Amino acid sequence: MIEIQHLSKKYRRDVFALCEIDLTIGTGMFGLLGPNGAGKTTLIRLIAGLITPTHGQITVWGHRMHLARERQAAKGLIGYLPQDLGVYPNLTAFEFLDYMAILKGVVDRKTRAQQIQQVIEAVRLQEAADQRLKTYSGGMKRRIGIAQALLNDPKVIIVDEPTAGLDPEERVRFRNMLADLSQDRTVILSTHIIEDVSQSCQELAILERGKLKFHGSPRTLIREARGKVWTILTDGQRPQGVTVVSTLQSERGTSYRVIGDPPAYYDPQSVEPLLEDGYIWKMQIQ
Amino acid sequence: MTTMIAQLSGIVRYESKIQQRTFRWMLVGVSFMVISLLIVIIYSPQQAALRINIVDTTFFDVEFDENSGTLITIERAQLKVFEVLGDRVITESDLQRFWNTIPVLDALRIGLLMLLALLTVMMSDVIPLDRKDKMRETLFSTPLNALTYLIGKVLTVWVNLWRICAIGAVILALVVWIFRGPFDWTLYLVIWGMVIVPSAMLVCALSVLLPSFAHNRRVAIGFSVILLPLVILLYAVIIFGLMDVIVLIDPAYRFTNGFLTFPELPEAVILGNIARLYGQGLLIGLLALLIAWFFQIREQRR
Ligand SMILES: Nc1ncnc2c1ncn2[C@@H]1O[C@H](COP(=O)(O)OP(=O)(O)O)[C@@H](O)[C@H]1O
Ligand SMILES: [Mg+2]
Repeated sequence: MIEIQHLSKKYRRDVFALCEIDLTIGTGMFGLLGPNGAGKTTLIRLIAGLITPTHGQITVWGHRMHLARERQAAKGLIGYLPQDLGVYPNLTAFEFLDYMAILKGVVDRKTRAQQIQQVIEAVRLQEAADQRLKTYSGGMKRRIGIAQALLNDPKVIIVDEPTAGLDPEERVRFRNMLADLSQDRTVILSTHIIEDVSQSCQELAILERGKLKFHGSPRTLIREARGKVWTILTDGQRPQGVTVVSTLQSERGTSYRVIGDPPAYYDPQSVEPLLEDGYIWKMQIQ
Repeated sequence: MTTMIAQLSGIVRYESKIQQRTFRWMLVGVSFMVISLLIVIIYSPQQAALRINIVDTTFFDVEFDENSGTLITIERAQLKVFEVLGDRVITESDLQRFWNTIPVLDALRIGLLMLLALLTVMMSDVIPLDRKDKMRETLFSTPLNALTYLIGKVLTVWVNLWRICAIGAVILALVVWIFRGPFDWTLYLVIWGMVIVPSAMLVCALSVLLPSFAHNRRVAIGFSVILLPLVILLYAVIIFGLMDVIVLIDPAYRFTNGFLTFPELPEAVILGNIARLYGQGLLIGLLALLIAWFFQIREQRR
């Protein structure tokens, strides 16, 4: 359970990376959408207790993040995968995970070994566990990053753009893994890729330029775009005055999927919106 | 508290591995050994003789110094040391031991300068390395606080330093014993334990903590080069203060002029000076910790 009240963050003078955010995040998968520079990473760093807000406050499972002692306790409940993930190149995966587990307060050696075994299996890196991390590919490093976040059975898992740099197959597996994890805990997934959140999120928020543009279920977002999504068939001419989402070539001409209010002479056919349409519709209206 | 101790031991364990696998300690150790071994091996007895303050050349003509209470004579490159204070008479084997110890003292003295300079530069990027490896976000997303982190880094460097010093002391002792014969063991160990290790510990702490603000390794190493004159100053203070400890071991060494400060000082004063130096070192170290802590906190309060 994460409660965010009147949260603002200013890095430099006059530039708000986040402005007056109010959010409550419960169990399940929470998607955080927004274009680059929207403030997703900033919000996530604030929740993870890595930076302090300019105004407002955050509570994570009752721990108030502005108090040092409670923040330490909250950090013990959070597993975090940073956007710009690093690993120690000269440690093996096992050593790295053991180190992180110790820092997370898993004191008992046996428990630690057991947990490492579990998370390494979860990310399917058993074979490479004794290799130095500098030999790892980008995708393997991400998997070690998520393995590290899973240590000590966190109540809250926060992943920041986790699918960047993964190949499609890995991406699907990763999404499924997060969906499984969100059964009994909070998973906050930040991304600018809509497919990452489309299937599994119970709730999502859209950030744009530091402001909360939308907060609700994916279904609500889709419903709000209803009546705004159309297909237009032309002989190759791009329709004007609307946003083109996708293009499909066929023998009858070029079919455009558009969002907005197309003029009647295009003969637009209304279609059922997808999550992506909802997102684009939301980003368009001011 | 138990978490903090567990975290510290974890940092020491794995940071050690990381530091060793970048070979920086090997470089420090090898450089130190090469310099000290060279000095021990190429040192000529004539040079050693020059380093002894000669009170007089004939025993019976000597007007010995009442404050120091020690006489040294040299006759045809034959060194004789007489301790007049107390009832101890120096024997031939004492003399040999004393004679062999002089190059060891010089090797350690110059080796120490080398060691301190190397440590200043080589340990300066220990904390910036975490930024280069992009590990800070991950590290501080755990319940690890900035103070534990800093202490852990310093401790790791210390543990590695102790290891290097232990190996270095043994190798150097063996070489001296093979090339020169028996020498003053007590003095040797006391210099390692009371002069070299503590001063290197202080320099390591400064070198880890003061450049910790640097956002990349190059800045850290650059900053450590700026710190070098300070370290050399520190070295001078150590040589002229801490090295007095050899006089407490055997007053005969008062006349090895490399460390000669005030040979007439009474023991209590020498002890007092040494204690004061340790205190000052501790204070400087704590101040560095405070400064580094401030930067860590500020970085997290961005
Ligand atoms: N450390 C920082 N210092 C100054 N400005 C920053 C810093 N981090 C992010 N910003 C600014 O804050 C805004 C939000 O950035 P960020 O939270 O990284 O967005 P996102 O993760 O959604 O791409 C951007 O305009 C970015 O330039
Ligand atoms: Mg980001």
